[in-house]
Amino acid sequence: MSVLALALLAPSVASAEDSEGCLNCHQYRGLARLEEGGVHVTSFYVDPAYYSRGLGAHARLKCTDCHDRAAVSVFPHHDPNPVNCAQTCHLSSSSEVERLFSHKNLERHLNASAHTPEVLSKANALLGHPLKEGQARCLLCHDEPLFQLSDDWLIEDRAIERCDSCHNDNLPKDTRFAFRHVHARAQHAQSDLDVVRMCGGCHANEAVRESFDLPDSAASYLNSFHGKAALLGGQAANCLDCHKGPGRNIHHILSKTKLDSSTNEAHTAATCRSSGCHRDAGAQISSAAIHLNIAKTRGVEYIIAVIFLLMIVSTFGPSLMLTTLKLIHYIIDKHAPDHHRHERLAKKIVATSLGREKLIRFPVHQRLQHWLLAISFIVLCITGFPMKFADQAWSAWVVVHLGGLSAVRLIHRIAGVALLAGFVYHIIYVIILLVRAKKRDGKGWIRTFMEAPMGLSPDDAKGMLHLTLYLLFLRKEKPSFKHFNPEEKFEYLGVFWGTIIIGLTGLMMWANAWTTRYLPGNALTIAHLLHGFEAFLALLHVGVVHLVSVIFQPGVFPLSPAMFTGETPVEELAEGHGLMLEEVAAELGLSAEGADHE
Amino acid sequence: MSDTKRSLSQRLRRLVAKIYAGVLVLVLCWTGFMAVRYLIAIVTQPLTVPPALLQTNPKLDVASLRGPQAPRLPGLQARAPISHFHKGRDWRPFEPHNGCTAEGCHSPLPHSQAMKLPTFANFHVTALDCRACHTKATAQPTPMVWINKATSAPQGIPAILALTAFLSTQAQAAREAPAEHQGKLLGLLKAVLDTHSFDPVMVDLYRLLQTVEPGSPVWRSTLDALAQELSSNIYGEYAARLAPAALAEGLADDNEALLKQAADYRDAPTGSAARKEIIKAVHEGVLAQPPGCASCHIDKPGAVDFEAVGFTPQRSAMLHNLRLAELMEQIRKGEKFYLPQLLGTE
Repeated sequence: MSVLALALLAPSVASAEDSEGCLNCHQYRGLARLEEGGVHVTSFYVDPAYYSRGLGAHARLKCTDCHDRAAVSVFPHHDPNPVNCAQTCHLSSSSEVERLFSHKNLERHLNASAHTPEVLSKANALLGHPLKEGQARCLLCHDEPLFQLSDDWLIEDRAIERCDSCHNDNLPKDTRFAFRHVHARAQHAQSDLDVVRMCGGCHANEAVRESFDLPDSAASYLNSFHGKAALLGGQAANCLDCHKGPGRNIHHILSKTKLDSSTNEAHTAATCRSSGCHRDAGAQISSAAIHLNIAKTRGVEYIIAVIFLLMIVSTFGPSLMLTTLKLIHYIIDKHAPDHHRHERLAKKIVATSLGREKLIRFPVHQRLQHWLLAISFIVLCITGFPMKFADQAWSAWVVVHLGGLSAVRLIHRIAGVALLAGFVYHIIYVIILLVRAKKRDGKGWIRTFMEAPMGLSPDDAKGMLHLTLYLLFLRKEKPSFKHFNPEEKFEYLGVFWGTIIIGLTGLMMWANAWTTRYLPGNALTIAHLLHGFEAFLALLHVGVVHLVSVIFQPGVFPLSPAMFTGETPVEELAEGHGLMLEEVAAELGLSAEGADHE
Repeated sequence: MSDTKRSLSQRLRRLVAKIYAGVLVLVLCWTGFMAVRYLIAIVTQPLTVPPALLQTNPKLDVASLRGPQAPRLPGLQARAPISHFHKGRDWRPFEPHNGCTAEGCHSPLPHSQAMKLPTFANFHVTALDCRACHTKATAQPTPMVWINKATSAPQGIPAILALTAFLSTQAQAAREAPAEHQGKLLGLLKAVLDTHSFDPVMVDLYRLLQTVEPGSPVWRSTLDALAQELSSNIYGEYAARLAPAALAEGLADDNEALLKQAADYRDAPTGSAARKEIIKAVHEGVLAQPPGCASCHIDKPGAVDFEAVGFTPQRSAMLHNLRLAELMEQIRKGEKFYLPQLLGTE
């Protein structure tokens, strides 16, 4: 807005004088009245700043260029004829010869488009007649045009200084107005969201959609990748970018059923790949979902969504159930019969330095890897979920405070790369450990894997079932586990699964041009869906199940020291790792019963 | 600590821990429910557009005259109401503390088509309290005071009028001794900004005046720009309204009483004697047909001493000798008039 103030200081100010004196009255906000029936208001207010500061293309017009002179030269004004946007007006300034101008040429574009005058009139009726009889239907989309001024006033002032060096008294020109007029055309006239709001006025209205048999384009656009970017203030394709088509007049929007429409199947690839957008993409990009309506289309995206719904419910559901049941057991003071014995044993073991060492479940190396995973996961969540839930107010707040959508995307990708790098490193680490164990024990690969601390075996499945039955009060004995219990193992392997899915789909979306060169366009849509669903699943597991067990659980709260010191709290050891305690106790020659007698 | 006390404190700790665990159970169940609900909605519910994206264009109807504009999503530009075309700052002259209009008895545009010039009468609502016209004058001119719109309490001359007066009477002195006048200038401009927060250009000019050296060429041209800008902002917008001084002190209480009476009126049955009583009480001393435009917009003294309420002598002279007001009287009598010269030549 600095540009406005400095514009006023500059010698050539893009302003119009109120030569007809209309603003003497019309600059008052209260110049308005209720119409017959007391429901509608007619406002006669005109903001004088529009004209005095030259804020838009119409700032140089006189009032009677649009409004009927005969009607307004009498007081009270006769009910003037509604303004006809196609009429001829006079463009003049103090430095130029008067010229005639009209928007009439746009009529032929509209007549040939999907938005014919009859269609617009019908839409006006369906919208409840916001426009009065005879008012130009242009007003359904347009209001007073504003120049998009640069945030950096220096750009405007420096350009105008150069213009003014020639355009002085010898070659007079309203250089500031001319600059703004051209500058405005070098960028979008409106933000992406303003365009959606404009088009959504009809295309999101149920009555209009029903009457013209239209899909809910505004909602499905906002649910797509482009729409979410628009909601978060990023630059993305909006309605006009695709539906106008390169080289066409913006008023010449055609239905996709027309062969020469930019959204006709035959042309969508060219539309997507037009300059400024997906220049390097493959032709298949056009089959990516620009309007994503999973519930309605019932295509492959719907199937994926249903599969993930079932998967999330069937993995997170049991985890949540077990976590909740453990808390209920805590509340009713229900412990495993061996709990107190294991507790005594644990206390005896940790009283010795050797014992404490043996009970360390996470060496330093693993802890560092965990922290890399945790930090990158947190950053990914903070940057990723606003992009997923872009229509929520908190999303916009987060994105703004992180520096805008571009910054958020950059941070997200950096964190993603860190996650993948950590994942690859961990895979190598695990392989090295398994190789060493195999050499040491001389067993086969499968045996070696199953006997590794985090390895899964059929015993884990049995243990899990046993634990579930115990927590459901269907078995009296609680199973005891060694280094890592089955829940921890499933959680660990879940990270493998999740990282692969999220990593691959994230890379596909990042390198979307490459993806669309070698894969069908809806691979992007599927990647987008999988990425979001898997992230949601990961957040549920980590944010709910994992954080409860390492932070919020009674006995652990406020924080488990496991990932700092490698040591697990005694109560947790006694509750979940009794077999490990007994093994270590046997190695050290300790027993729980001795403690009572000492 | 004795064994009993220790045991008591342990039990208390245990109880707190269990309550905590119980709360955690509830939170987990709620989280799970919300997660599943969200997932099911994705595959079953139709998509919706955020209401803030669509309901941002207020219609030109009575309902939108009341209350604030619908919240916009960040980044959305203000749009003119569809049938209006001209963009502008908030066009609605809504006065939340005006007891006559706030509760719906009278519209914020209270002058109906029944009178000849409802529009011109309505355009005074941003600057005049209803009682300024609709109360019998006891003196000529009637002493008037400014009433703060936010508090309904009497206040001094509005900041924007004080600043205009400063620029018209002391601009030359300020140019000659800029350092001495800088503090007052900035103080007045800040006071204007506090009450006219909608204008970003004024904010910018304030920042410029604050930053540049007083008396420098940029400072001087900024001062000129400020004077020019004020002329776009001054008419009708003072963040205060004029009301008769005799009623000013009790105006806030009067407005409160009106709100209560409006509520009582709504609660009383239609056509009841109670309603008639309320109407009579509310309108006691109120003129249904106030004196016309020429009572104020006439040579001095007139009904209002504009200079006394803070307008500059030039503006006051213009308001007193408002030719248009005489012509409005003509319209009230049913006669038209033409001002072709007002519109310039073709």
